[in-house]
Amino acid sequence: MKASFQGSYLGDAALSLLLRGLTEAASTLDVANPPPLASHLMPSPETSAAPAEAAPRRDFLKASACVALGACALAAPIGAVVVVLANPLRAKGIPLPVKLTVLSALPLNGPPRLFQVVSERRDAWTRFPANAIGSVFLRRVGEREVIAFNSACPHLGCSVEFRQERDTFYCPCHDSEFARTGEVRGVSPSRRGLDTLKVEIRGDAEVWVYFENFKTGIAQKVSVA
Amino acid sequence: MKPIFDWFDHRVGYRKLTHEALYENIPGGSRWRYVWGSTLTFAIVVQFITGIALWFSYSASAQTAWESVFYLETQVPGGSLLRGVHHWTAQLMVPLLLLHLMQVVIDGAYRAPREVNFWFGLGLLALTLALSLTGYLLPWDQKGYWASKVATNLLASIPVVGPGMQKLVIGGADYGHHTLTRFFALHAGVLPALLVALIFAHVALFRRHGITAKQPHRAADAKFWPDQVLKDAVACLAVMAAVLLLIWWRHGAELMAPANPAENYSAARPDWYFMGLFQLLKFQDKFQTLPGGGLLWCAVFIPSIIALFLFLMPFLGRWRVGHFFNLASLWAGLGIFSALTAMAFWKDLRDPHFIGAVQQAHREAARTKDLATARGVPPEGALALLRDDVFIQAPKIFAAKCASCHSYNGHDGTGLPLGDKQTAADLAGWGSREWLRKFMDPQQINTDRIWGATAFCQPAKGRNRSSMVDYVLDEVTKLDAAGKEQLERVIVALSAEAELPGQREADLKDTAAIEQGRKDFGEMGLNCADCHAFRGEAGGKGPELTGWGSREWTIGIIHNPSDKKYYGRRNDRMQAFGEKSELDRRQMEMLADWLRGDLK
Repeated sequence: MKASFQGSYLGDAALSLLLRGLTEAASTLDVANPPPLASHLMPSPETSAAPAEAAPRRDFLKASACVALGACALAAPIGAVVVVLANPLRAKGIPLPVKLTVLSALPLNGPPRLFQVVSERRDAWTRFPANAIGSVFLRRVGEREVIAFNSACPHLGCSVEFRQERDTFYCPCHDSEFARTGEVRGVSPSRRGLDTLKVEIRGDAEVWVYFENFKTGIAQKVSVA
Repeated sequence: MKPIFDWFDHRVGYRKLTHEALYENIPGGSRWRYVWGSTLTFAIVVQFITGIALWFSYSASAQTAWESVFYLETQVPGGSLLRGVHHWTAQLMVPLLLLHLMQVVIDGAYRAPREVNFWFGLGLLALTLALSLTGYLLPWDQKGYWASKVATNLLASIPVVGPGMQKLVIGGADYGHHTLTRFFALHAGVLPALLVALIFAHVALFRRHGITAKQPHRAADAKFWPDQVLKDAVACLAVMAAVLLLIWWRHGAELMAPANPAENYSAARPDWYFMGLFQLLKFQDKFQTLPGGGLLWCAVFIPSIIALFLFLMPFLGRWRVGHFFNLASLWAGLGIFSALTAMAFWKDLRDPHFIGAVQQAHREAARTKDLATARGVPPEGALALLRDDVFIQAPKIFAAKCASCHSYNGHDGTGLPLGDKQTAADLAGWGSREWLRKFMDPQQINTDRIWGATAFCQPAKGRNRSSMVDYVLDEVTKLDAAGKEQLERVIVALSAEAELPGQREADLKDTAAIEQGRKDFGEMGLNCADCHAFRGEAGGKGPELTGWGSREWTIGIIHNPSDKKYYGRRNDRMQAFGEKSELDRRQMEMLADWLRGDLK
């Protein structure tokens, strides 16, 4: 009951305002000397039909109604904007098994070797059948035992390189250093060693790696997923 | 005319507006020290004009961003200048902002009642830095890609909200199309809109409070127009002259090779005004014991503390001592910042790895642009041009797959030193007469550059040295002058099998020697055909040499060296790269073409 009263009242008020505005505009075609805007649009207290003591309550109701109607009018567009803009929060990365090489390509106890990770990838609307999504260092430490490191530096995500002469992984961005075994070496900004990836030797000699990326800058190894 | 202007003014009131805008009183007259705000307004107007023009040619997606910038740079007349102006004006805005800030603080223009306007100015500084960060990625080249990765990873280091913010900014868990669409929307939409709003507020408040005139007054009061405007115009012209000079000096704005997530980019650096912060991150360790850890301090807390200090400066500035404290801190801060920046550049300039990486990056950028110009960019993007390019890929494949045994001119193919001891032949000059002469030289075959470290020279226990090595060491050594001539003809004939593009003219010239050399190959000459099948001769246990060094022969041995056409079961270490799908057909082709010097 109250709501309908309020609505109709507001509707009446708006209508009368509009009508008055139109008639006044029509009657005062003296464009060179337009009436002052304020008195033109706002109902003065004298012309208001309601008794004076009801005015604050009515103004409060009007204000509330403005807020409520405004919120209703904007709910759909703002809702759509928020939902669309926040969509990436749902994004997940999943560890992908990718074949990188065969065992014979890795000399036993040889230096780490870099391999590109090529995999199918969907980037929004594009499906890449074979897209380079990262790179991995492989080191063979046993007949059928291979260690894999994601080449992304755990500090801030640059690519580390293996420097033979120092026998270390080195990040060319902020000078993090890692031993051949992946541990942080010396004074390095990185809080953890290189991120190992799960390796699987399939069949005779195929080296498969579950490729994933990890959060950078922290001491713990946490998947980006 | 006057009635028309009167009519218009009556309805719009423009005269009052222009009067207010132009006839602002300047106590003590115009001065050069007041120009900085105007140069910044000018720079921002330039950025809007050039930015919108760039927008006309830009396409924000992972397959078209680099490509559209490349097209604008190289194919559209004036495109390079347009991008150059946008880039270098952005570069100059940072020092201009610092000058403006210093002038405001030195003149005490941040004190009551101008605190709020000072904060608006700080907001504009922050927006400008955000604009430069988002703009850095848009060309989607290696430089922007890797530097932005670090920047967004820094964003993720903010406690609690950081990881979510990172996803929101890059449009997902990983870089891709939506990283570009979002950065572009921020760079060309959201941030400029905020910038315009804040500039209006900044200028309006500035006019409300009036200029903070430098005491003592040097001259009589003057009006903004034309006294100060003249000085401002000269300063703006100087800014544009500096921009054009930088464009001329640096050949416009850089565009590196297209972004490639799988390609290590050791030359990644942020824009120069972030190099101080970049250097600070290397000292993260020093802050490690502080609560929250070093990264948080370097990337979040220290910048936040600086921002907070700047924010509070107007209050400190109420006291004389506070004002001097502000000034001293600003100078000290600038000094530290400059020192860090200098350290970062100093280290890079002396680091051979970094210099090498930059050179490599420039080579790749130049090659990509050449290919894109010559062939046009395929629909899947310019990266596909690189992925299929012999000149770029073959050395990398060689370094990754071959250089654990072979070398190329003593290096790993890409120019870096070898990681492993060489245990197979150096393949530079593969197929050429020169390569065969070394191979057939008794002095050289047993060296590491040829077969010295292979099982042919160093057989496993219980096995014999290869009869080819025996032949070179024993028979070739004993050859008389006529025999040596025969050998040279066989070498020329065998090398002709390779049909090297670089040897085409020599092969055409020596047709007679080649004919004779083919005959010398057999029983009438050096008896090579006892072991090697060659042009109809049956051969024996050695590899077939018909078409030796040719594209097909070379691809074949990479495909499977244990094939009976090649080494058969005597191959003890080389992988069947093709047979085991270690390399695809195209990669083997690229290797063969590169080794044979067949670079189109």
